[in-house]
Amino acid sequence: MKTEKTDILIIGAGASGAVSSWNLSKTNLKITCLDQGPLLSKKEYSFNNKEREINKMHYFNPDTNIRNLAQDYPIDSDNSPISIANYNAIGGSTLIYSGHYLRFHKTDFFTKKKDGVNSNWLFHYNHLKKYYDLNDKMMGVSGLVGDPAYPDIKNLLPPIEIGTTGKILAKAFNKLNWHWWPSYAAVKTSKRYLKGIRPTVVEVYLKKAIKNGLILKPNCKVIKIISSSKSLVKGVIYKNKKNKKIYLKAKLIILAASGIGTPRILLNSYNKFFPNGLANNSGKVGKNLMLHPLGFIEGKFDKYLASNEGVEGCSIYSHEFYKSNKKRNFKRGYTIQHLRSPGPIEAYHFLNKFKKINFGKNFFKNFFDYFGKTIQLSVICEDFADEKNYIELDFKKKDKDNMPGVKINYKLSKNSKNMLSHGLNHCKKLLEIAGAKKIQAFGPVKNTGWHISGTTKMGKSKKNSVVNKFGQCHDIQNLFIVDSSIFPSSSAVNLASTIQAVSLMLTDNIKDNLTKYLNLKI
Amino acid sequence: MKKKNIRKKLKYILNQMIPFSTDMPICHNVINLQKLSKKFDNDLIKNTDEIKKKIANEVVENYFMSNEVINALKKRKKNNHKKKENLENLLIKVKKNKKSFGRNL
Repeated sequence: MKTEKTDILIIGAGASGAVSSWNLSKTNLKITCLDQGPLLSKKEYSFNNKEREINKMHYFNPDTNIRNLAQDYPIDSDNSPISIANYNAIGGSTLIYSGHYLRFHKTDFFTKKKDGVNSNWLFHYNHLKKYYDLNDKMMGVSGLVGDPAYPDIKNLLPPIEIGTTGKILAKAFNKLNWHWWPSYAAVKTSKRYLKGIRPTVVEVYLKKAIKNGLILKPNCKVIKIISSSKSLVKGVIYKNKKNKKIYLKAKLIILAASGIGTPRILLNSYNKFFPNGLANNSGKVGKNLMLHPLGFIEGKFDKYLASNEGVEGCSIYSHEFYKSNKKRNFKRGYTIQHLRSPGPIEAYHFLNKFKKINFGKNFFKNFFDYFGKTIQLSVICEDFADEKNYIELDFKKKDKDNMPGVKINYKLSKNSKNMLSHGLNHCKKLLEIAGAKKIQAFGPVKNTGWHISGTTKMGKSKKNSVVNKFGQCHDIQNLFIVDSSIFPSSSAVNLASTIQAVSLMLTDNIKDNLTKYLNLKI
Repeated sequence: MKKKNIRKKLKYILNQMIPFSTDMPICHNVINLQKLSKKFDNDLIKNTDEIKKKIANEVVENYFMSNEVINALKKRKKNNHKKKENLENLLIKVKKNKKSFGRNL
């Protein structure tokens, strides 16, 4: 087997891996980043691509089992009401995400102390603030300063257009005296062009990192991390595009392969020192899986609203029901997001799914009765860590390299069910006031497991967590995890902004302690 | 059946599936019949229902992806153009009533 060497190895080139690669590429060390996916051209994944709507259903489908590409691995979600949504390529899920860049609130970092749920984080919002600010600037986050829910956010690009439907909803929010605000979106806008251009981490971080000397290796799948002792790792075995196994030696390894990919690699890296999976003396690798249960609410209006136009993703959001309230039958809360309605092809498939469109003389009548006339909302619920919700290796379904797939075991808690129900009912009320003639609401929506966290939880105790506050594995001194799998609580907002801020902070700590970490005797 | 006849039959089927509408382009004009006809041999082309099932997604995708249809949908938007409302005016109430909101969250 061919052997290669590097100083620091980063596994994964998605939201967290790209940020980590960029931050560490500013050192004089040899930094290598491996990702199982290909490096796609911007034209292929561009949000302005005319064929994007079709691509989202096939090549860029968020369901790994549907797209079934060479780089994908099987994920069995039969034992879960929510299936995993992600993308495996350089840039990861940022190639297809909604780019909704809400930050965690201050209280999201100590939910145990405040509401008696989850575990507290080992750092707080104030520690992360400068990294949130830096990341907002790098990604080109647009929004409107002055939000009562985020009074400290400054220096954003001009907000995206909220469109006709956003304004209809805004008036309804005002009538109910509920909080709402234009979305914070990773969409680069200018005063002249508010529709904007959506960047991904490929352009924002990885291209700069490569200029700094990063060695980025696409189509390279890490099969196993190799231990040298009970407390150190010495490298990885990966398969390259030509299907050849290579041993890559590294002084320090950083896992940034997402809430699913990271525990999968750790569990598959079992050895004589760690028979239950690498860094898994606590038995918590893969446990405490948190997904954001998502409710969907759609109101149909009589008039054409051009709701299929505008920025893909969220244009306005509300945190009216974000915090705990003793009068409710659930703890913590949720975000309401206003989503863009589907384009023509997605609209057809949606109608077809519910048997509301047929080919023939009524085709256009059915179609235009729906297309552009709907307002869609989503309710994103905070999830709680529970050991009964976990991922495990699936030896029955393996990927093309004979590496085990992943099986999801997840149930909605009573708290989540109550929260979802509250969210669906309140959104119905909102849409009624907005003037919707027909409303449908359901949840949890199956293929919405975008926000995966908790599977290598951060904590003080070696017994019930996997990493410490620096993202360093309790069991292994030179193995770090910097993605959302370390989050002890999930919040009720999209994770991208916090994933990147956390990665920046943790890799800053690694930079500050390089001498200590790189001089370990492997 | 000759290729020309297969195309003719497909044209008929397409017009059955997505019939003529005054403000939308005609289906068989924007879909590449030649490309579509390659999928069918003589036997299969006789079964109209089977063909419809087989080509449904492709027809819808190609139809709505065509520049003619995209432009027709854009025109629809222009015809329904609404007057602009000021975002700041809409936000006055939130700013006024939710002042302590951020501290509480």
